[in-house]
Amino acid sequence: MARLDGKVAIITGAASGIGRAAARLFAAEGAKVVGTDLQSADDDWGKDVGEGAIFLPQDVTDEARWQSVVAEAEAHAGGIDILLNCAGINGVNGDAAPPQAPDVIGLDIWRKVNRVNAEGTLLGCRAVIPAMKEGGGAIVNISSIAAQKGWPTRTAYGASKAAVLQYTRSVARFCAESGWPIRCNAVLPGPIDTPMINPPGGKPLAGGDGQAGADHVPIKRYGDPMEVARPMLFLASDEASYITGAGLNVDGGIAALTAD
Amino acid sequence: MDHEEPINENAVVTPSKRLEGRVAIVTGAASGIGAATVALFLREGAKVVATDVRAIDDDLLSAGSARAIAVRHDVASEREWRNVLIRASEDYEGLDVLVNCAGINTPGGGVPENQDIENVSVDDFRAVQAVNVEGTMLGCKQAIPVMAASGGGSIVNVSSLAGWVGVPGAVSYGASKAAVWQITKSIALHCAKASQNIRCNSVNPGGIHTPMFAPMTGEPSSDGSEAPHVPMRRYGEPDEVAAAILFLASDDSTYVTGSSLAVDGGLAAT
Repeated sequence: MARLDGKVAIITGAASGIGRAAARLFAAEGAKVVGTDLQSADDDWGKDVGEGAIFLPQDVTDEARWQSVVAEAEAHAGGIDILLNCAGINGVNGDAAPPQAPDVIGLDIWRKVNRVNAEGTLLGCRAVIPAMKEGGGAIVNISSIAAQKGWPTRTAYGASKAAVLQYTRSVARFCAESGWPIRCNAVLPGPIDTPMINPPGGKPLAGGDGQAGADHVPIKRYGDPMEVARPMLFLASDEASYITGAGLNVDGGIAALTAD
Repeated sequence: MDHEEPINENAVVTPSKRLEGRVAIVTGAASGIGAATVALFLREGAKVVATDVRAIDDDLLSAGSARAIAVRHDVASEREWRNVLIRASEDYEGLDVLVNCAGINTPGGGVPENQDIENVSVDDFRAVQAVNVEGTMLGCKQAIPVMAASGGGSIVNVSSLAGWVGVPGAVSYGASKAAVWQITKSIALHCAKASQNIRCNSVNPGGIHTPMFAPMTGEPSSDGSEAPHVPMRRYGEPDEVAAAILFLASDDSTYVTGSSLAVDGGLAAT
């Protein structure tokens, strides 16, 4: 029996990176996947993710759209068991990206990054809790090692990911203490080889093999998106039945050391 | 097994046996989290060296009797650790997983008495550190070269929520579990630096229905909950910790090292 047989999962940020890997993995493990993204899905998405998965366009900062995504997911699959809040931006990609250093950061970029990462996660949790509180469910949010470490060039990103981690704990307590069988946890990835840190058309990671330049990672390589999707599978599955409010580092050991 | 294999893009689904062909040592296997871990690992196809200073029930190993041996083992003894590693190497040809479950909360078990800072004796303090900290340290020390020679592996140490928050009635236990948590990070970085392909993580359980914790659970509260201070309003089961240990021991966690995973019904979030 597959690990998510009969479950329905909404996965945001599912067009690429960790969200896409999670969509593939969750579908392969038996879940009915509702993938969403602001970017449109490429032509291979359905074939890549698997039969039975559907893709919906979604801006996670749009409150009204969350209601219709939940309604469409329920209509498509008959309920919602899992939400993965994978949609996120770091605000630094592209030549025109405004700086985030503390002496120059503007409110526009601060708000933009926090809207997607923090508000998007808040809206997602708020939208699915009513749908999960009877039958139970699991929410997995993507925080980051940036929530635990100072990152002078990505201040908005770090603050937004710290907000995600803290909010995860509050959602976990709220649901459990309300007597609802809903768990909420976060993963804290380190550098993962996704379009966020390795944008298409941008400067490739040093060495061109996606691995060089990872000297700051104790295990000396970037993570594969599937290596984050698998911990998300564990946290979303019934195997994690006594885990809620937890943050799990998936970072090749970075959190265990300071920058050197 | 070959840990150097890149992730197969086409092999997304979890293998039906998540530890097929792996050799695992599990200490503290006679009861509680250790026993649940042995049972789960056997179901997942592992070959298991189950150790404990106490006798291990034959029924525990019968699920995979051709793939399990029991070894009497005081984890505080480096000589006995060498013996356990020899059994793993000779009976099963290598080592892929080490789970350090053996632990005590007081020298004699039971409800901690006189274990607060004003009353704890040096002997009691040392007795708890000897099992929980020295036992974990010796296991990792002895296992790493064997794992490295096998191509790598995964170590899971059982820390505790008590290693993070104050436990005024059990200072020895709290200090020991903080040490386990901390040494886990040093081991993870050491193995990473040495390119040994060995990961090292901890699970940090809250209150779990084990023989060790049973004397502390008390009577249900007026609302019928056994654990009103825990967000999930209950204590956990050993199987629920074993599932987290399996996650950290398996290829589900290949980019996870130096991490700790709370298995506590939300208690650390309070």
